[in-house]
Amino acid sequence: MIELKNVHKSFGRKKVLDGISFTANKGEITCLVGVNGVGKTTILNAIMNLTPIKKGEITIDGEKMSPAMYNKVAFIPDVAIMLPQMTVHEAMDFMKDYYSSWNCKRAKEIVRFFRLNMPDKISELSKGNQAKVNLLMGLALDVDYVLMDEPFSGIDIFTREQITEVFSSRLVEDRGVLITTHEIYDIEHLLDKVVLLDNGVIYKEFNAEEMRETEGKSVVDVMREVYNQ
Amino acid sequence: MKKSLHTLLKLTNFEMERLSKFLFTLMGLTLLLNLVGYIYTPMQHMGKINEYITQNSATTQQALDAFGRFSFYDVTQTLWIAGPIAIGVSGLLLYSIFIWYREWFGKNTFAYRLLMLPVSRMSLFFSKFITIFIGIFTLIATQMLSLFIGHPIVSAIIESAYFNDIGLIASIQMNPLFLYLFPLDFSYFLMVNGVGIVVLLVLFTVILMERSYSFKGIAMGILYGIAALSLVLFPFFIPNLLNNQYILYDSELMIIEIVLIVAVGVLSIFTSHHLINKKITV
Repeated sequence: MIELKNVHKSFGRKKVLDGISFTANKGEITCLVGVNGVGKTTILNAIMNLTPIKKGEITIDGEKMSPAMYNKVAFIPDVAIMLPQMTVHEAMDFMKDYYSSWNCKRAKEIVRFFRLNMPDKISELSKGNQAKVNLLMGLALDVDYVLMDEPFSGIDIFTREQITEVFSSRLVEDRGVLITTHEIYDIEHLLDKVVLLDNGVIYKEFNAEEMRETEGKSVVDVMREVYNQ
Repeated sequence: MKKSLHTLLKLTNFEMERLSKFLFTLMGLTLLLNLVGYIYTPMQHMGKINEYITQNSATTQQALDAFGRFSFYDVTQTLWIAGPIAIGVSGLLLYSIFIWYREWFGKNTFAYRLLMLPVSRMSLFFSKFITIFIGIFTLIATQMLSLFIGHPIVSAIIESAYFNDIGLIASIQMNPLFLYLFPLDFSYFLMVNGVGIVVLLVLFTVILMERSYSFKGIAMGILYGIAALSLVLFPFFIPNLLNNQYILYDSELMIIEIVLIVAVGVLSIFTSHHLINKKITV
């Protein structure tokens, strides 16, 4: 379980996270929702120790983040993070060199699924294919948790469909997924838990299915209620 | 321990591959410009002598009286040698900054991947540090190799009557610039390299301060840089500060210098360790 307890973070005088606490469980898809600048990416960066927090505690299965934990949690940011001069094949070799959790068989499966060409240079790929390479680098790791930041940002409808397919495939099965996205329509039916952020605090945290069943509201309906106020 | 050393070697090898093109360019430039100097400078000198002899119907002795004997040292004094050294030093200094910033501001944000590697983040720090030092020593070795090649070229171009063959080693010893590049005394070698190591450690710490605290980090970095380097260079100015009173022996100054180098180096490593593990931001 990824657990955030009373997490505070500021950029200069601006408070971005003001006492955030929530959990993301293994085997569930948890979605962080909020308008731009609300701190979604900051939360993911903080979990991965890529930005320091001012106060609070973040644990993964009860442990604080350490280098060894990067074999347990993968983060797929919304920017290309492998060297542009690398080919897809070289990028895979790089991952294999450093991560004991790298699963070569699964990596090849993902390459086939996304129809990526191993000899292609990353710099020469389209934005959609670069996003696929990012997914490949994260999903081919045998990790317990996968964090994804805006996986649908700026990509075409076909790539979006392929990525959506990932969420219902065995590539994320049994893992805990923590995702941030604006494109909630595409994956709404797949979400287990939704955490709504507003002004640095958690406005609402709910189970998507329960919300649909008990109140008859979709995630988008709840978002409208919150952000149109 | 064995695993972390293996990781450090892998990362250093990776960094070396990234440096290789730039390093080969600097090596090529050094050899090329040096070679031009080895050929052009003595030919120019011989040209002047021949012109003098022709115009004045002078004898060899008269030409020698007018121009003196030419030695390999004269070539090492030219910009053809000093220039590439300056280019190499400034190139590697800029690369020491670039080696970090490219991870954030390159076409892709590779800092994410590096900081998420399941390895100690200090391995990243030391791999970059070692890479720069390998680069420095490679350029020094290239310069040395070049001098070995240049000496016979120069002696072949200058007619023996006009050549003062003081030997390669003496030519190197006479040049103050080479005293820093190829220190012959071991304690001097230690001091020159110690200062180099600490300057690089301080620079890396300053960069990490900026990467951790942004604008505030720049101010912190500048202050830290000034304080650290003033401390390290302080022993060199002790005699001047005391109105040229040499109250300390050279060996005592050397000990003070080494202590300060170690102190500032260790402080920089600990500060960098804290920043890269706890404060750095992608």
